Amino acid sequence: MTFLKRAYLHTTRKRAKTVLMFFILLTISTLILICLAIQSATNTAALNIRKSLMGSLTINAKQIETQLTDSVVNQILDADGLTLNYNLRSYYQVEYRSTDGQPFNITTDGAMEIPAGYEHAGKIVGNTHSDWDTYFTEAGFELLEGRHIAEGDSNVIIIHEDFAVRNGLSVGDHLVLATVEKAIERQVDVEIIGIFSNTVPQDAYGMAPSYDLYENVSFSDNGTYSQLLFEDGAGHYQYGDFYVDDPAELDTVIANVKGLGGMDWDKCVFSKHDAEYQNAKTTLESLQRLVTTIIAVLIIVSAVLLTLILYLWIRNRVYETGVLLAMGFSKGNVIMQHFSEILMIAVIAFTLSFCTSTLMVQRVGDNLLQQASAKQVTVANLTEDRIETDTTNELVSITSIDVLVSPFHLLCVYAIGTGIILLSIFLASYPVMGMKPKDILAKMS
Amino acid sequence: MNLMKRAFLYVFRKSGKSLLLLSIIFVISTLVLCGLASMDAEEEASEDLRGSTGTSFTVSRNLSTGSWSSGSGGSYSTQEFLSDDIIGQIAEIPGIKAYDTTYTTIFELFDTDGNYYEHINPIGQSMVDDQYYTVGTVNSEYSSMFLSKMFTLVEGRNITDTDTNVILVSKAIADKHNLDLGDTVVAANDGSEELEIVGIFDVLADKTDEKNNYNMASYYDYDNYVFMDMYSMTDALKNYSDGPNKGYSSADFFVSDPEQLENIIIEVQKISSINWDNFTISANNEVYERTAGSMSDMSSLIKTLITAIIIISAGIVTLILSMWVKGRVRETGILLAGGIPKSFILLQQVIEIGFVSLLAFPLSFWFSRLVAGSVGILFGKTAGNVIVSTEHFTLTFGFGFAILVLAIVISNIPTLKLKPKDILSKMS
Repeated sequence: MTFLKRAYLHTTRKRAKTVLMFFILLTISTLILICLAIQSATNTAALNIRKSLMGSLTINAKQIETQLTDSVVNQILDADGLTLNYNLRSYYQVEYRSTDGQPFNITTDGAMEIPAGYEHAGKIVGNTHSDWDTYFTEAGFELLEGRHIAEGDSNVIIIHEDFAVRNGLSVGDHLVLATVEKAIERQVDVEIIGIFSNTVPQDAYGMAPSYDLYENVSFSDNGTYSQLLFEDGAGHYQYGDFYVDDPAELDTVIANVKGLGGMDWDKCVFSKHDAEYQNAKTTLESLQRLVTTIIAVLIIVSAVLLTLILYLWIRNRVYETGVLLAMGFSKGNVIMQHFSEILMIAVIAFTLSFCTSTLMVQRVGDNLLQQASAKQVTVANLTEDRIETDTTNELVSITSIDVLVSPFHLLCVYAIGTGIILLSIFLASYPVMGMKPKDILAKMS
Repeated sequence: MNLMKRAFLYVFRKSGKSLLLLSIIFVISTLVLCGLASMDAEEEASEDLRGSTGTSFTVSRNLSTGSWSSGSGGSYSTQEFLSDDIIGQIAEIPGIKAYDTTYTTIFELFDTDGNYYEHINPIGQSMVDDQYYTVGTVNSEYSSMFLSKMFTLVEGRNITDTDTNVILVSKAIADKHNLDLGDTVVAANDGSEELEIVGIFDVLADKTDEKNNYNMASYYDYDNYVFMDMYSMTDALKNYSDGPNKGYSSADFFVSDPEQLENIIIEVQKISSINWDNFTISANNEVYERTAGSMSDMSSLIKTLITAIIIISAGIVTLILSMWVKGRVRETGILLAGGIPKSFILLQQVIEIGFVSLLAFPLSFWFSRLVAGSVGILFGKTAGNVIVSTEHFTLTFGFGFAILVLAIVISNIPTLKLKPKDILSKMS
């Protein structure tokens, strides 16, 4: 009789024991599957946390003649790991003129100096999204009338309230921007689409050149910049801010961008903006490690438990083992029999555990959704209004967390489970196998 | 033979079985204790994670409710300034881990012999080249340049609220003039102060990016920034009519747990000695708002994981114990036939388990403490240690024993329902 047949007979005849072992294996494998499913979900949650912490890189290409061009920008956006969110900006000075060519008046109070040729000049900040500009987000500028510059705008401008009043301009009027450097004479007609003002006084009083005074600063679109300072009709940008999907990959993304051809990256300055991620990194990683450690401990404990139980059972079958050995069956054969008995039960138990764990894990997933909708994070309006929380929320795309038991997890359980059973059988059989049949039978009677 | 004696004999004669039961209880109890300790560690780590978002609130002068006056530099607000006293009162509210306030102006730096330290990118005029953009700070770690990681400390330490006469300089300046930690520099504005270098920082930000060119700071190279403690700055500027001795226009307060931000702000507004008409509070919790959902997801998941393990472990023990009991059906039958009441039989088994538990649980407490230590190291020290507390032990022992007793009772029910005759006939 082969060991397989003996195993089968033992399993089917010792019903109570089989059922018990079945339940034990079912419980253990269900638990491990639940843990593996939760671990995957935890990794997704960790990714979401990283995504929400955001990270971006800024490429300063001012030193290069062509600076950043449309083709380079598109190549960068195509690269792996970047979101489609970006902002391109340029800083330059222009002379403000009316549509008939008359120069406009600028503020000069508080200026350290008015450089020659700049008597009617101001600073222009070219932006893809003017509402993302640091003047608005950090220096306290506020839009009073009209709207911000957005992607798609062409030849538009937002001017300071003081400048508008001083020169009798309002939203909808046109004015002309002309290059200050007389070597290249170009001008562009722009439409006023908004008026802003500053809420905090400029603290560079007496320090700034006239064109840097808040009242002489205006915002325009990137197209205007390219038309004024370049003659090839293509888009050029001094700085590009690109947002990455996962700040943990920021260094890799930068390396990839530097690998793109067609640009002299050595002359560009790359800077990383991932302070928030860096602050959270250690704690986040340790939480993830906690999960892994817990699962490892669980697997070890399961193995120990199983070994203990099997040891007891095999010890109870010492007599049977003695008889088989005396009959000439090898020790290996007997061990394989024990192993097969358990494995038969295990295969069914593991397969069933897929269903039980999926059921339980669904409840976990539902629980999570319930908690998420109940816990809307709001800080009641005890405080001043903040500018844009909406903008930042658009920038972040969270992956939804599905707590699922995947076939891969089941495969892991099969593999780990079989390994544990094998180990347990060996360890449990060891003391018994050490004895000679004569000793076993003598011991018994 | 009385109850206790039978229980005692059983445990010691079936030493193999008892040992096995002991081992099983020991292992599961250890698992549960580690689980409970991990739960605490997770709470702590999650709070740390939330805290790392740098959530804060800013108290500033409410310019719109104050009146204005004009002077030589243009018009200025006469609104009340934040005094040290006000800031101190707010900082005492529980939940606030740190605060900072700033006052910036230009100082000239000299060595102790009166020679000026030339700054980076000098233009050749000594009146200009010895100027440094000086940030007076209370806790430099919480100054915006360090928080946003535009600057990072490379040597020494940050300025804290107990420091006097200290300064932080940039690595470029330190290298240029061979300055080290512990050296003394003299900073001069109206008054002059002798300061010790306690830290050196490096500039990580792109020095040439013009997006920061909206205020005075932009006219100074980042390398020409220095940080000074607020006491020294106040002392040096004490003759100024609008120096830091008059107060500050705003202060930032950082909270340990962003979940408590709202409550903390409410508590702060309750401080009656501060006239809240003159000040506004704004919350800086954009980062926390963005991440709160995912962070709470992660926390829930890990808590569920640990709970599942604990509950199912209890289930396994119950399962094993019921198998135990089934094995003693014959013995139970004989005892019943011998006239021993059912309750006594149950009690005997409970006492047996009691003996074993008395040994197993404390042993697992001791062992889990060892294991928790190593788990803590694997886990990373940031969350503190994974500690198994006596509270955990009491919980586990109490519930654990209760579950064991319950398991015994329930498993015995079918057997005890039968008459001894049925049991014994069933057996043979």
